[in-house]
Amino acid sequence: MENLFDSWKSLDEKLSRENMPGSESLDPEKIQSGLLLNRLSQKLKLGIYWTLFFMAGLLFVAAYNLKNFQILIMVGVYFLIFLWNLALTGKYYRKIKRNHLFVKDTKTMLENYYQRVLDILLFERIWGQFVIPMGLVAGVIYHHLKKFGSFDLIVIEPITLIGAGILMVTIVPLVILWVGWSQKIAFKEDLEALRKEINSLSKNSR
Amino acid sequence: MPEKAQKDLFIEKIRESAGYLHKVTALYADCRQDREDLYQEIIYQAWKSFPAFRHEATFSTWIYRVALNTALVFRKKENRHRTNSLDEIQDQAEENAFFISQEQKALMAAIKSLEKVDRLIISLHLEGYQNNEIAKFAGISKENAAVKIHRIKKVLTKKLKEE
Repeated sequence: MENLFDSWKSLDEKLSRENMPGSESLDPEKIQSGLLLNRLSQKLKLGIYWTLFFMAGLLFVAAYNLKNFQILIMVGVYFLIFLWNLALTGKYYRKIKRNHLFVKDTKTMLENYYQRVLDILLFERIWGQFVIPMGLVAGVIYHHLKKFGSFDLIVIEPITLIGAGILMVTIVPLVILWVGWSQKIAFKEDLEALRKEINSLSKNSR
Repeated sequence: MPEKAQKDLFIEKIRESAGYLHKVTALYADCRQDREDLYQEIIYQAWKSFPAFRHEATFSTWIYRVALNTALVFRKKENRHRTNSLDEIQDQAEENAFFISQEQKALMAAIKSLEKVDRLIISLHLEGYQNNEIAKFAGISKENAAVKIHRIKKVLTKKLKEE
């Protein structure tokens, strides 16, 4: 066993003298590349950007209908729902960032990270199941408000109602499934890699 | 501390730990390019975390944690292909130049054949860390660490004898 230590130490001495080829630059600001946790962070951030994108879209719709107070109320409600999403996912994301990667032991650090990513994904899935059908309802109301000008004057058109009903049982579930599926595709591999590392630390060696 | 001074201090400290960092990269990456990527990841992650380094531990202990945590979750770039056998020959030549002796090569190969977490544990053990420190480092119990070290050492000795 002693020669293991000797070989290990001699390797250290050798490598301390000679830098590995191509790794001369130590300037941390020039160093950029992907890392599992970084990649997960980026993907989470992408979700936040999507929410901001939809919020910007709602602002655009609001600006387009500035004169119609009732449309503004409806868009405002929807905007608040997105704001609520942004606040909650932002809170989770900040938690991940605040939980400094290297201040805890390895297992805890990985477990915390894993759990928080799962929390965000679960929240997004539940939120999607609620907001996607709401989006269709909002679309129908918007269409009627544009056509009739006010809630009081709206006469529900049977054709629109049937169309919305068909969409509600066909496209809406598909979109919900697509959201879950795309989450799975985007995060599955990275989360599995992370889980594997945690499991190998949790394994009882006895 | 001004940022320039902080950066200089950081680079100086990293240089002191370069030997260990190179060993970690050799343990967790297969070819020169992956080693370079991992090395850079470690420096990048360490720099990001450097302001939080409060001198409660020595710099070497802290950088070991950064290096090992980074290495543990490091994944190779998926689009890297071995285009032809010349690449492999070049890699092999670089590999040969990287390690000084057959003994070192055999040791590294044996450690690399272990699970990622086992590599972490044995590298700390070979660096001279005590079982309780390794346990704290990895987030496992002291007893568990001792059992793991004993088992890893047995596996390593067997592998090296087979060489």
